[in-house]
Amino acid sequence: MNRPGPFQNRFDRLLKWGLSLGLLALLPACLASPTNQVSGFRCSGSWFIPPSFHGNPWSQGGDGTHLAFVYEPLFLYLPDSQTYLPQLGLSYKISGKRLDIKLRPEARWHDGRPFTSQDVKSSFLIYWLQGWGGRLKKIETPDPHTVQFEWHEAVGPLEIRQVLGRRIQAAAHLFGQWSKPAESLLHTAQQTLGADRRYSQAQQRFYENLQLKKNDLLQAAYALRPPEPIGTNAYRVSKVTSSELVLKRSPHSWHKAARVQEVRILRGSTNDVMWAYLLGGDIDASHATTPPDVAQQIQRLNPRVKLFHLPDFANFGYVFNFRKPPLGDRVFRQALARLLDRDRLRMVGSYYSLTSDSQQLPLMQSDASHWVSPELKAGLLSYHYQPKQAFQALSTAGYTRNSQGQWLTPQGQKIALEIAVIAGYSDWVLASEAVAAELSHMGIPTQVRTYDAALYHQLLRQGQIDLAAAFGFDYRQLMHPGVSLDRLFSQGGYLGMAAGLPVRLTGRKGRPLALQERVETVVGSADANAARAAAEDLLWLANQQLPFLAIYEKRISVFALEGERVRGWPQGDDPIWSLSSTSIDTVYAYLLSSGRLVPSGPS
Amino acid sequence: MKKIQLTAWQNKLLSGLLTILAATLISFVLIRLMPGDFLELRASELVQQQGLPYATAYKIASTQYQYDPSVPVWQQFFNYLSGLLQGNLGTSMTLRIPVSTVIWQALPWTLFLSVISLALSFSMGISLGILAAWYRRKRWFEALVNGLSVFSQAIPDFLIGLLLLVFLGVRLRWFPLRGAYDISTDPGFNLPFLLSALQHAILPALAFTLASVGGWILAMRAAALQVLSEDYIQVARAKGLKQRRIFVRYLARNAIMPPVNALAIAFASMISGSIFVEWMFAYPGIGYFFGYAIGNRDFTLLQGILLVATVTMVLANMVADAIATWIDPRIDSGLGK
Repeated sequence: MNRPGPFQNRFDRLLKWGLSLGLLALLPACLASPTNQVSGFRCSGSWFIPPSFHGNPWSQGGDGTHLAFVYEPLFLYLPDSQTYLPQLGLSYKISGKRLDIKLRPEARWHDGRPFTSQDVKSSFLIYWLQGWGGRLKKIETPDPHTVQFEWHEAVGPLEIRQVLGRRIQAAAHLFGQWSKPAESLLHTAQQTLGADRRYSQAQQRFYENLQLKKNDLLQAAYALRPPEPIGTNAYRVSKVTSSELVLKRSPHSWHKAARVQEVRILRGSTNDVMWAYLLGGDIDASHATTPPDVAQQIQRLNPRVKLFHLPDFANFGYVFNFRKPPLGDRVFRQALARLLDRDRLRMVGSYYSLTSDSQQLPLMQSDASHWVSPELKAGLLSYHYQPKQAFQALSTAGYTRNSQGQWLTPQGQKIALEIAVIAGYSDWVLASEAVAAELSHMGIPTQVRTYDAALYHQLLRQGQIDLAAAFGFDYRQLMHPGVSLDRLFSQGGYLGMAAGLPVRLTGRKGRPLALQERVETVVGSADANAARAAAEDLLWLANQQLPFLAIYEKRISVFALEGERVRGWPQGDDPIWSLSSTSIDTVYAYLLSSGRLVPSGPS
Repeated sequence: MKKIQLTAWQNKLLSGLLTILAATLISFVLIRLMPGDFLELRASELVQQQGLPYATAYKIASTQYQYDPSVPVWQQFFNYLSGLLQGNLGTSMTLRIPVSTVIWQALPWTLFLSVISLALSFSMGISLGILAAWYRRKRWFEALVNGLSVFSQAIPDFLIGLLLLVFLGVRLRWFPLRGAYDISTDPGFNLPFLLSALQHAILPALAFTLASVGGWILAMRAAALQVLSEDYIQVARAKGLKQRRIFVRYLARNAIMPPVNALAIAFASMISGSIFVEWMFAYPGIGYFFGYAIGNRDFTLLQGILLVATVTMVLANMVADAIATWIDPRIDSGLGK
């Protein structure tokens, strides 16, 4: 029996009214103008949202994507052409232990104050407080447009590149109050410690005390809270919300060629959000790691979107923990390298990247010929995808398989592995799931475990991992293999600590190698031959010992929208793209400030 | 000796205060037991950057974050409590601004979002739930309501948020993709800003609404079916009362009690449980900073937000009791002495 309804005749009407009222409520919101019609340049990025946002670039809260548009270095290094583009610096000269730099006289800070050598000194004294410049002797400013750096001994290209390429972000009129005490500390330090890094006990105590004093000064500098960052580049921060950060062209900037008046950064910290922006045509540039089908869809919806694949100067792969058996066994590590089809894994994790070199050298493929001599090359092992050879090597070393096909150690213990990955890094997780599937299929049960960043780093340092996904061979910022080798082999090196490498390892001539000393020679020596010899020792060790297995050399997929709000994107083979070794935002900032990217309206 | 007689409301207030104190203590200890040591993380960075011995780096890290792990947890708790009694929630260890500043700026946005989405989901949910019970023999309507409930219960809020973002934000371009208001407006009591804030709140509010409406429908439907089986409904029908009167006075008024009680808890949960949606829509509310505090192991910020969530929960329960008393005066016999 049907129950008679209280609103029998009104029920349908009620539903209709409800729906109509709901739509009416949405109307005011729908009437607002779509936001992507705003002119200027738009990209995605991240920053600290108010109330935590402030204008001190040195401390948390002041960091973010906007810094590339606000600050600039003395020179920008172009790895493709191995040249420097003058920015705040006009020219430089290296003579022995000294580096002289002439500065651009017309440069000014956003608040209109002139840019001088004191600003460079103030910035580098803060870098020194942070740990840069171990062998720095002094910084002098003979006149407002000349700055001189002097070291205890002649320094290598890495140190020079740091001076020329670091951002000048401590205006003396804001941060100068810490320059004097910092300089005084530097003076005391160079007198007490000198050039020799082998400290006596008293010197070691002084050194540790010095770090605490430096830390006190840094704390004071970090506490400064200007409302907006004051830089010298073409754009200054105008407004900040949780979703957008707007920069306007600075009237005081020396970049007179800059034509785009506004830069708007939309918050986009994850790939899926950046894809949403790209699909909607909301941004002019993005570098989200993108599978090919999504890339095609973006280009189908926005035919004016160009896609460039640029080197990211870092290899993704897995660090092995030497402390955990059987990963401490070199034969086992080498077998794992031959069990994995890196080309397939690259397609799963990052389709547009390059499959890593079979010799597993901590170098970028484009750079290998500069560092690998024919003699070294002849003695290197290759790790191609060869499961049969890998199984044979394991069997020869005493590893066996049980009736279920699972591999056992020579001591008869079942082998099972775990891969640690940072949660939220979707391409890392995908690649790691594929690695786990391949190894499990081969009789080495493997599972992936994701951790949040704080826990992941703790586990890595404490060596509580089997394998961990990481960027291993990494050139970024300084474009030098010293960065990679330092991460891998120095004491306290990010990957070396995770792998638990011993202080000494047997080198290619059968002699034990002091790893720290070899790294310091590669990184710091002004003698190119000595640096090359030390690098070869370490490259050989990386090849033989395999502390890190690289899967792919990452390439960034840059989507650039031509003609919507801006036009003038360079061709794919333009060397200017190699500025991405610093950061992709630096490329955008340079293209805008140099006037290469212009508004898309009539010229 | 004269026995102290507390009224029901005084009792509630006292138990609320005790709840807050207990929750503060428990959360204080649990936060410090979280895996992932932020001092170790910072010390590792310093070892890499400055080549320091680990012990020195650890000391520097604890100075930077103004946190001394050698102080016993009970002492840390009493320090925190004495600060609280003076109205001081402490300073965020990583952001280095007062926790109260972060909370006071973020809370209005979360409240705004919570009120809109809860009002929408609650009103939709109880309406559909009670109608589903009343018209339970109308197959098409029941199927529609059940389908909506299953959809709402099965899909998490962040996934609904992503779908809304793609279809209503990217494809149809009806709503802005992210943020709390348009950057061209000036925050304040002016129409462009208010309209913009409403416009920006719609997608995150819809994400919450669609994710929670199913719960309200099911709760209200179950309560209404229970009431419909009561004798007084049969008596009312037998007396020939109008259907509308039975529906409103007998059914709705009695069936709404359980959802109203749950409303308070739902509201308080939204204060701290909006991490994913606020993060996805870059909405600068409490959930956004809660996610940040967890990720960065910012103990003081985390503690402050949890305290706000606890206080909200206690207050919301009191409000729920008051509403329940208003709807059903019989409850007052236990409270209104």
